[in-house]
Amino acid sequence: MYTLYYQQSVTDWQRVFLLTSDNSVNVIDQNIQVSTLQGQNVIGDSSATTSNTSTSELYTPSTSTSVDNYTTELINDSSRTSGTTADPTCNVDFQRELSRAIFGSPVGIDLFNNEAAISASFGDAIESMSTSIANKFNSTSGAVAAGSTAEASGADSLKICNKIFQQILTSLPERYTLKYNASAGSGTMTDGTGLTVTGGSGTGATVDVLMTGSIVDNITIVQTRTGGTPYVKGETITITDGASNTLTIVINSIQAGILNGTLDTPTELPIEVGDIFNNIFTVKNNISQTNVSGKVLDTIGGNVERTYLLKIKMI
Amino acid sequence: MSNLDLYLSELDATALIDTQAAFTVSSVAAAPSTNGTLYYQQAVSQWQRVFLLTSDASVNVIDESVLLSTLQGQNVLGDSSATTSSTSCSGLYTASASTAADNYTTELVNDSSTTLATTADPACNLDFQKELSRAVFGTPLGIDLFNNEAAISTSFGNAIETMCTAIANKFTSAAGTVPAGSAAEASGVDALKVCNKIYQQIMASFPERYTLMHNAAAGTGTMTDGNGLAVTGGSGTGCTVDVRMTSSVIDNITVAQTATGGAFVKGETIIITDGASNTLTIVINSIQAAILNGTLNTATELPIEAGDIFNAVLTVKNNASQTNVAGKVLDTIGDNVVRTYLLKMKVV
Repeated sequence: MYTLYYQQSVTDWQRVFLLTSDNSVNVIDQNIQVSTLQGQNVIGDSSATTSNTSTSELYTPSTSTSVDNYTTELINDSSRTSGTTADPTCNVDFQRELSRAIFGSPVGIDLFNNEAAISASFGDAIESMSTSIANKFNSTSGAVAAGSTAEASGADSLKICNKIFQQILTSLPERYTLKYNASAGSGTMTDGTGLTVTGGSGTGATVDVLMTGSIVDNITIVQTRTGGTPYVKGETITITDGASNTLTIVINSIQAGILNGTLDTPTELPIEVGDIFNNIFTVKNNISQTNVSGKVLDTIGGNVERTYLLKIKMI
Repeated sequence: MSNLDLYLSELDATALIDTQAAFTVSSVAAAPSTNGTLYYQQAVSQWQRVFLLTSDASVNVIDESVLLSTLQGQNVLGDSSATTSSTSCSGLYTASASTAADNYTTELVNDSSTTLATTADPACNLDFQKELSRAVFGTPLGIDLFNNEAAISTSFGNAIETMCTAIANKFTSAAGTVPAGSAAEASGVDALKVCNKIYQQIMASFPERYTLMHNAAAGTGTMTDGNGLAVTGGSGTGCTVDVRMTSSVIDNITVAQTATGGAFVKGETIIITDGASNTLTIVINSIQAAILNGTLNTATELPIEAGDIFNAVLTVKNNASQTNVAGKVLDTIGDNVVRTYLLKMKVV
């Protein structure tokens, strides 16, 4: 399967997908709550906003032949071989199969007399499908229990939210912990309880730290923020032990929620720069397309249906 | 740091392209009416080998055109001494005893007998002398008033052969490769323009010649739909095709796997066999051979077929010094003779 590449700011994805832990008031409900915000620019061109879909300038034949050919707010169709915009891989693939269906050979594209129009129409199809994706996020949804019937029968945005939540918990569960990304600051941190947290917008928070040598075994909250303003993702906090040894953490949304004691309110999923979300675009021939014998492809079962992987990368 | 690489099926989407692939082109303009017809016949292979197309291996989806090229082929028109690299038309023009239309003989330009079924009244030659008579004596029935009819007749034949030489000499060297319909083709040698016209007209009138299913015929039993069906016969091996049928009607045949060994050659008979041993057969043309070989991205002969006819108009004029009986030079007084004859070149 050939691949299309799209890149978007991580913040435009982070803000959409939210979890809520139930503040420990129920020990049998098993699930967090998932919800989503309006975010029509999870995919879109530079004119898209959270409340406005725009994909008209999205599909782009790229001159690059490299894989992982990402450009922010463009769907790149990488050059197949020539390093020009004339041979976009997916577009060529589709026309090759159209040629195969019509002439019997994938190498008959030049026998078409409207290659450029087909090429543009292929791009339009990609943009149309991108619009349909963006429109899955045209309103807020939830909150519903992850994995519940309400989620399963709810908006696609909620299902996506649950999948992202689940996959992070499966593959990268540490993102949901306070110790995530903790790194040595000054000296070698030692075990400690009720250690002061400085840095960031909040004040008054304390944590317990457990170490084995220089390895951070665990960090747990003791006292959530008592003053200042809430911690914000991206801030750097410093934990200091009795001997002035320190650990630092550039906190994510979950860690800010832990320090603020607000995980029982909607909190962004810990989506990170470099994360990639994939979906499949299916492009089909025009419903009236005939082969040279005048046979409608869809009628004779010779229709063209090609799938392309869209990789959406966070930066 | 590790990252997610997560499939979100909820974002999957499907779309149809708005635009249909188009392959219909305009027919080449028909020949104008003429004052008579001459008939020539040549082996189809002599024409096929000259006119070539190249599809660009599908590496460009905006260039719109095949590439055209031609090979040297000075015997597309010529007598039996002509070769691909040597023009020979000296024995070409022939006053024919046949009164039939479609009076073709290989490597001769036949001028059919008007009525006598002899070589004495070749239609075009006679037409020219009648008009010459009209210009000189005022009547087309004054040919016998000339006292050198035989010489005029011979000279008429020489004129035809001179023009045939000119045609053959349009193919004295290889030409191209240029995109069909491009400025390069339009400003290029006539051989390329001819190549484009043949390509276009086949696409306009017989587009199926460019397809793998062209000339497919039932073999044993009734073929059924199938994918990856084995292709046997011919010089290539390892090739498979997909077949779509509606009862006994062949809807489509598409290549699934090009030849992995050997190479198919035009004129070979291939056999496609389904899972129940039903078969289709195709006597493949050059395009089909290339489809099976996966070589349409190299210069491939246009699918000219036996029975195809190519037409040109030959214009014969009086001698520039020809006078009428009053001594007036015909060209000066505006009474010159200009007669046109359709040369039909049939390939067999």
